[in-house]
Amino acid sequence: MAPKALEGVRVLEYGSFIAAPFASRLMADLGATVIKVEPPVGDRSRAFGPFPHDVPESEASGLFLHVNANKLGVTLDITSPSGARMLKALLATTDIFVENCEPGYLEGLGLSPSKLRASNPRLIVTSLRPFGMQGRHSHYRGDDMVAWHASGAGQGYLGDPDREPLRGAWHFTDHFAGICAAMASMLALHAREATGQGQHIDIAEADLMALLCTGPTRIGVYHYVGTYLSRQGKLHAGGAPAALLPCKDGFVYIHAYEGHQWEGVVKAMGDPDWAKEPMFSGSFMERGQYRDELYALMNDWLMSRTKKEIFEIFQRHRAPCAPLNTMGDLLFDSNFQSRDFFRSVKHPVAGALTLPGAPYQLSATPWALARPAPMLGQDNEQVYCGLLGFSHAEMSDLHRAGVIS
Amino acid sequence: MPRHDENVFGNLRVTNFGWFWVATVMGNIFADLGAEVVKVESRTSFDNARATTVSLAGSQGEGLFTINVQHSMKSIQLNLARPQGVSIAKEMVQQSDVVIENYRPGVMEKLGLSYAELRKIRPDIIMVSASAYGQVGPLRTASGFGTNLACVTGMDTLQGYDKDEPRPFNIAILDPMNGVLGAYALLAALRHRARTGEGQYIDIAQAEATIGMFGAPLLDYVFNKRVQHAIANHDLTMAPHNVYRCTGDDAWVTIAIATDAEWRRLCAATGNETWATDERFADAYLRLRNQRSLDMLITAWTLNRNAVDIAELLQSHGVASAPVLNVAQVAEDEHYKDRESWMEVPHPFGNAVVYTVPWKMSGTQPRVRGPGPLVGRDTQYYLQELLGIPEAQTDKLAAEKVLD
Repeated sequence: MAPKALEGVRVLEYGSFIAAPFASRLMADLGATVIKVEPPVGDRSRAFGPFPHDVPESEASGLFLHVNANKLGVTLDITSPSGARMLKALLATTDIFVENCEPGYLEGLGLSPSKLRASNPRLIVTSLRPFGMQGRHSHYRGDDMVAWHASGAGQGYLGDPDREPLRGAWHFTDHFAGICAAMASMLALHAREATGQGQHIDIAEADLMALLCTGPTRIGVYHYVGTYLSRQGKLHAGGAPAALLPCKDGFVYIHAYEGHQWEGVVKAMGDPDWAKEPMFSGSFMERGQYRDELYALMNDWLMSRTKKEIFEIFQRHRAPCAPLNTMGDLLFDSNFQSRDFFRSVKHPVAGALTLPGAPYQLSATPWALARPAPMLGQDNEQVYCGLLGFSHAEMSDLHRAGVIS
Repeated sequence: MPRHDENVFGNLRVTNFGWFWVATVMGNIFADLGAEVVKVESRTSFDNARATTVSLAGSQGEGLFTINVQHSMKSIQLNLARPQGVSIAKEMVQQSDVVIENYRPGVMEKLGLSYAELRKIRPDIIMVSASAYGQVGPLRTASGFGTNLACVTGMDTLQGYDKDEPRPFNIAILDPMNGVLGAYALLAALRHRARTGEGQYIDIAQAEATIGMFGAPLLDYVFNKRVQHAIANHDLTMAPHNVYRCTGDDAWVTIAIATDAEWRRLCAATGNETWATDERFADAYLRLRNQRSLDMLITAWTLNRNAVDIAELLQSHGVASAPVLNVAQVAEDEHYKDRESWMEVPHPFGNAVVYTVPWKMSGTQPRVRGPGPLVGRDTQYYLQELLGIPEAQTDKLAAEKVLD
């Protein structure tokens, strides 16, 4: 068997919904041993779906099954004194603790990151919050959308100028936060090699888009010239063609910035006479002044062809174009199929699952989808008896008392 | 808060052949913790990122974008179209731990800088290549994909006003995301190397890395043949969940309600106790079904109020809410200031404001070590100090256009 990059790294996750679970999923994919701790009722993502044949079943929620694959799963009521003690016992053998509790929740239970670290200085605690744990709004509650719009991402980059700004696709901020949390946890793991000490990592979801996207593209400019740009709808920039345009069965994105790319667009459309008009003969930016006219003239040609046909014709003329694939299209895409991207894993309740495959291919320590997401409390015995040394009788008592389920 | 600059990666050297954005993010995550990250660039194949956004007055195209995203890095000017340029690049790799690149697949091979070649001169090298579709496959060299990635991955079908009105994000948002993901993969590979001495090659297909977020909507197709699409600011489980217009130009506030308790708190906070007893909104299911009515009622309440005041009021009642900020408001926001989100750094053409590091680490806080460098700022240092090339010879190299 191929070696694993994170072999021997022990991760404990007390996560909810997407952000923290996605972080520990990334670590599990590269070989870390991840124990997901759920409250006795389970992670709320178990109720989110989608479900096979739309039949609700807490063991078959698509969101849960995706972000929790490759993990072990236990249940624990950390609000009970016994549960809190067991959590601490688990943390004694943990390298990285990842959590995204609501602001103030862990502090209220006497389980704040600093308290947990005080008794275990080698422990790395990675916390995700909508607004972080430092700063005057750190107590603010929020979700993916709230954090997204607080970063300037919606107002600045997504939506029509005269309509409301939009949130990013599919819980983008939550996933981005998970990626940053996994990466920063690795930074701390490397730092521990040098210092022998763990540390606390404070991830604010609102910071990520603000500091990694809005900031570098616009904050510096704003400070320098005192002005800023706002969202521009379907258009990418002032020039043309650069827009998401409708076609026979959906949309295509056409973005021809260079002169030779524009020539490719014209050839791809069969050299129409209108393209020879002087108004379209200038640069990308000059053509932008006539973009409404341009898109109106392109409309008939586009509307009589499918996105796949347009993509193929444009590729032949090396004209930049992308089909707007739907979730269904992706599964049948010949490129992804030829790379064997989508992977299958069998789940005892949900059946055969098709999931996205490796986000990166590591030649020596490959990414792997080794096991489906855990059933509720699936690994209680292995973890509590095997790792913490509880007897079966004690397990039974804990179950009866509602500390585990 | 105590922060120690430990230079965790003080002994790490990274050669970065990357251009534009994604490779830059991968690199400066290490540079902010003390690694020497050298960007290889040339006036003969200019990185257009430098020409993006406004430039500092008096500079020749020192754009604020690269001053920001290339922070903490070094720059060596090297013309890879010349065989001697490639030889010098190989000498650099020999002294490096990590190589980063995001050329179109095939370019590094043509230059003689493929992983197979670089491994011969540095057996434990870790090399990462980022591309749109990966190093193999029918679309590996497909043209013009930068910002179109959000289309081919289906991301743009999941954002917009509704099914028939998808909207693109106006810049390449996937670059910073995949950049952090690439740094994560590099950190894992470095751990493996520290334990075994073995390097490796990492192939990142940005399209596939992006689809990695869409497990649930994909499963909806697998389970139910349902194609999910954009639902504006709404949510599949929560209502009300939207942005609401406030007083002022393009002013909005977010409100997100997950539970019945939060709903009752919203009714109390806004002084609309009748909403709480309205049967149309009695539970989460009914609120979802009747969310258009709900949105209208809430808008009537927010319309003549200030977004910042609304958020403060609702948060004091335990309701998730925040103003929708524009760039100016983000830049002036006190919470971001508390978190030291921006800093002014000295630059040869006047000070510039750059963003800092979003992950706050209690022990070894990464920090911005300086603005993105001028093209070739560190060429002489690198050639003379590190590669031991005497000055007379670097002059000759310059004359032969190897350092263009």
